[in-house]
Amino acid sequence: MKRATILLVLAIGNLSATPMYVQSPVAQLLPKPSAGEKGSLLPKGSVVNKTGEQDMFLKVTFEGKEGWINKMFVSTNPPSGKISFGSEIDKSTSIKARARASAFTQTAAARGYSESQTLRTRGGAGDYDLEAISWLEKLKIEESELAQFQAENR
Amino acid sequence: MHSETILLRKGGSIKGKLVDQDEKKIILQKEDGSNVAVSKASILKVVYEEHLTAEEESKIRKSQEPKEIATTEKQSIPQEPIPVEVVVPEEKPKFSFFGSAESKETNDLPVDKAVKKEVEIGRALAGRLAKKYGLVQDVEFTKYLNLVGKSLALYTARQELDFRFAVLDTKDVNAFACPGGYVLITRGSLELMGSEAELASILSHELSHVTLKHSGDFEEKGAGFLDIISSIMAPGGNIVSSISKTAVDGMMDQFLEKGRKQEEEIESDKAGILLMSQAGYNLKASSDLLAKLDKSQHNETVLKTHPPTSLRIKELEKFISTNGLKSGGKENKERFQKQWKDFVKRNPNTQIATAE
Repeated sequence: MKRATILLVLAIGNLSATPMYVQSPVAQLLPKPSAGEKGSLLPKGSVVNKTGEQDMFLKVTFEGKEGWINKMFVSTNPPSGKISFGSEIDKSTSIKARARASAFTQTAAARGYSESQTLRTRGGAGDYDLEAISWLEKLKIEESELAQFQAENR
Repeated sequence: MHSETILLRKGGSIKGKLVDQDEKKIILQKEDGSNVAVSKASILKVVYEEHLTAEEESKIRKSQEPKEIATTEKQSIPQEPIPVEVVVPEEKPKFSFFGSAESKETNDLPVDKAVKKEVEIGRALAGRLAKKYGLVQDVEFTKYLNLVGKSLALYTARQELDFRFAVLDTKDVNAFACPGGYVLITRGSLELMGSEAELASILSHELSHVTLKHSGDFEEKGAGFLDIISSIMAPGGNIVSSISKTAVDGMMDQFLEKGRKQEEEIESDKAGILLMSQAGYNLKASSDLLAKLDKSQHNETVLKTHPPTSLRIKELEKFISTNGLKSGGKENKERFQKQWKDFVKRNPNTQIATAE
């Protein structure tokens, strides 16, 4: 009975591990939950299993090893392509109302807003300045500029 | 398990979760757990829906026809999918922000549907803030702001986002992290600053809100006509859907009235310190700026929507000490002050004094 309980606890423990994806190029598997610790670099794209949390660090297992990782360096999102705007932002230049609401939820929207209460946009274009955002999106920062800026920073 | 539907050129489809890819193939994990490699050349389109009706599939196939004619002239039709094992590289990658041979590149992966939705909503929210306050369209300073912000964003887990930073034309002291990576900082905040380290501290705080998803998840549920449309259209069109409007209304209220949860603000302060530490900035700049913010004349909204400044400073100092993080680091006062002086010269007056 006792053995069965232990096995059950272990099984539940294993089930509660959440897979997360290393997305930062500087993520390390740390021996302790502290930014002052040094650890081994985790390859970007690796999958770690979260088993716990302490302050800004997640307790994880990676290839059988246990350690800690900075919360800012991992995501529950699997690797995805990078959002790119480019010339595609010129596809439409005016704010248009969509006639139907799509079936998705968002936590903030869910706070007090049910799906049935979603508004149909009838006007309201005056509340937005999306041309200003288009201006911002068109402002190109080349990787070489960023690399040079960082080099000057060192 | 959420799956994608891969429509094949020769007809038919494969369902599975996209787990990896390289130049020539994508790796799908099927429902039974097995992995299948699919030659990219055999793919007509990746649709981020598990259940497509025949009508929806037919519509997508039809929309791809012009591209198909062009493609088939260039290449031959590929073979059947080949089952493979996914091999995780054992070698650790050399450090590189822009990817290396060893790291798994994500630039060629399709953009996650939830990410597109997040950007759609964040973009609309940024548009609302730009309308309310005015966005200063000063190329030189905005470029500088983006260089500082993007240098910090390179360390975060949100590599799929193209973070954007801009100045809002108001004397109010505040900054806003919109989902999807739009970070807007007010002119009033910049006026308080004396160094790039202080600028980095506020940008790091806002980047942390986005990275830690303090505005929630943007998970798609169910399939519909608009989902298919949005999978075809890249984000960036000037369209605000009705659901985005609802979400934006809620977030505007949070930005200007209710504020985020206190623990989320404290968490972003700490996460911001970790980003600043990675970038080598002087960590003391965070508490220095908070102290200035507390004494500012235009801080009503920011104080109303954030925890007490004394608590924030206390938590920051405790976190720096507990983690053994070193003080010192760069401040880049001269570079910031030159950029700011030139900005003020080009834009002497703010258009809107304070928010309503």
